[in-house]
Amino acid sequence: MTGPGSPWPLLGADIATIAILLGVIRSLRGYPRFSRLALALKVVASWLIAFAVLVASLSFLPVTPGYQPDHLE
Amino acid sequence: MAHAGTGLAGGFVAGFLHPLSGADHMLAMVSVGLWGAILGEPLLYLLPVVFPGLMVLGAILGMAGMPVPPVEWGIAGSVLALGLCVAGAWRLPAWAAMATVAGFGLFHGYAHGKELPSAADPLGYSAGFVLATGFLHVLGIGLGLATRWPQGLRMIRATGAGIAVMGVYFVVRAVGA
Repeated sequence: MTGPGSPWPLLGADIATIAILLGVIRSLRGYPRFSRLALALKVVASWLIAFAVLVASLSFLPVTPGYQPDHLE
Repeated sequence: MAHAGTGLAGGFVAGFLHPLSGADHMLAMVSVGLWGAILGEPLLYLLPVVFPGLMVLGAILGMAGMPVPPVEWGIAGSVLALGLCVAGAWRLPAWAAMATVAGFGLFHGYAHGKELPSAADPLGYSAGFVLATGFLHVLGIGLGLATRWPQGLRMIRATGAGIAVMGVYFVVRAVGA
C-alpha cells in the first residue's frame, strides 16, 4: 500500500522528522541558552506527533464521514 | 455565524482555514496561548502540547462517528471558560489547567474530524487544522508575552473578558439551537 495517495510515505517522513527533532532537543539539554529553542521544538514535535496519529488513524478508518453540515450551521 | 461551512473542496487550505474561519475555534485557541503565557513555564508550552493530543483523539472519534455530548456546547463552553481563565488570570494547579485544556481540545477535535471532507484530501485537511491550531496557540503566547508588564497584563485580562463575553454569546446560541 505505497502507491499514489498512500499515507505511509508521509507517515514515515513525519516520524523521521519527529525523531530528528527529539534528537536535537536531547542534544540541546546541556545548553541553557538554547532552552527557548528546545521548548519551541517540543511544541512543533507535539504537532507532528498529533499529525502522525491522525494519518495512521485515517489509514485504518474505512470511511470518513464526508461532508457534514458545520457544527454551527 | 461562526463558520461559513467547510464545503466539499477540502484539502490543506480548507483544513487550515477551518479553525480560522470560526470565531469560536479561533478565540478558544488564542485563549489557550494567552492563559499559558499568564501561567508561565512549564504550562506556557505544556498547554499547547496537550491540546493537539486530545484534539486528535476527538478528531478520530468524530471521523469514526462516535457519539459525544453536544459538541457545539463544548466548543462554546470552551470559549467562555478559557476567556474567564484569562480574564481572572486564574492560576490553577498544572494538572487542572492541562485537564481543562485537554477536555476542550476533545470537543474542538471532534468538530474538525466530523467535518472532515472525505471527497478531497483528508491528510491535507488534517495537517491544515493541526498547523492552524498550533499557530493560533503561538499567536496567543506571543500576545501573552505582554503580561510581563503590569499594563500589558491588564490589557490581556481585558481581552480575556471580551473573549468570555463572546463565549456567553456562543453558549446562548448553542443552547438555543
